[in-house]
Amino acid sequence: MNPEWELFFRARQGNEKAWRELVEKYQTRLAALALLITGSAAATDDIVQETFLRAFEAGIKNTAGTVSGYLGTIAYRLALKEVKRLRRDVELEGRYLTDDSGNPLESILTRERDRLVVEAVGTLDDAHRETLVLRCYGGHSYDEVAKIMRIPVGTVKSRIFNAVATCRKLLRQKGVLK
Amino acid sequence: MHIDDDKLLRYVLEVCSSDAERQDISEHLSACAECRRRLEGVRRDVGVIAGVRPRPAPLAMPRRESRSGVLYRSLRIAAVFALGIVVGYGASSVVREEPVYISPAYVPPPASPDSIYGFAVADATEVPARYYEYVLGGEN
Repeated sequence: MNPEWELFFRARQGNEKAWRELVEKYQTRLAALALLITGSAAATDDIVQETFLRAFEAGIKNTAGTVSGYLGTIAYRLALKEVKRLRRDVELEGRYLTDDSGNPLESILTRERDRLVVEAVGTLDDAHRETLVLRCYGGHSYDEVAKIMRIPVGTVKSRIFNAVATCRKLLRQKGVLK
Repeated sequence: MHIDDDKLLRYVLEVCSSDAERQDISEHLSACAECRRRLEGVRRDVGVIAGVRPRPAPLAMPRRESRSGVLYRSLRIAAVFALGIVVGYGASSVVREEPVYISPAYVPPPASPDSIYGFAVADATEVPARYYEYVLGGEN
């Protein structure tokens, strides 16, 4: 078993030191994934906590993949569920909610640059945003993203390229990128 | 001639249209300092887009229940349920059944004097003494 999984299982068995290491290694990335998919600062921390809870409760039979990918997949599915719930409540489609009352992005993003990136990613349609986030934050290879989203690898690559190109253009306009 | 921006982006993202394209770009980069500089710029941009870092929130360590814990919990629930049934059954058999009172209703005497109703009564639960005398043949 590789060291990543060893760390995971030690944390799962209640080892406090292993738990702290696991959190330090994956929490920020999972939070970014949740935030970029949902656009909701309020949902982010809950999704991350729920991700670890479900990861610990699940019976893991296959450790061929990475811990990062395993956690990323759980967080992604929870984030999608939250998006459906939020949109059902507010009846908005295709874009972030603009009113995250009580929990603005500043509450969770300390860097202005990060806030502008989240806003830029938020302008993408669901397909491009989810593909980009799974690849860049979910710890997945192109093949894994294709499998998770049930689309051809070529489509994944095309979406990633278009998503990054769009975000680059927007961020240049805002002065974040040169 | 330099590599265009889109090609550099495809190279950084590893989404070149073919191995031949990737090879051409690699060869050009090895010879062109300007394109290497621009490549670093593209890598930085991708790094910014892939580098959002929310502030970490405190996380509680999930406690995973062991199999024996699950079994113990299930047995405990079953025991409480069984106890509830036993206590409920026992309580129902101990509690005395209270008699049910039916409020007396006035039954007007029919025209025929041959039935009990031929006798005036204070209420329907009272059987007048005269009726007993009648039944027992005390009266004509």
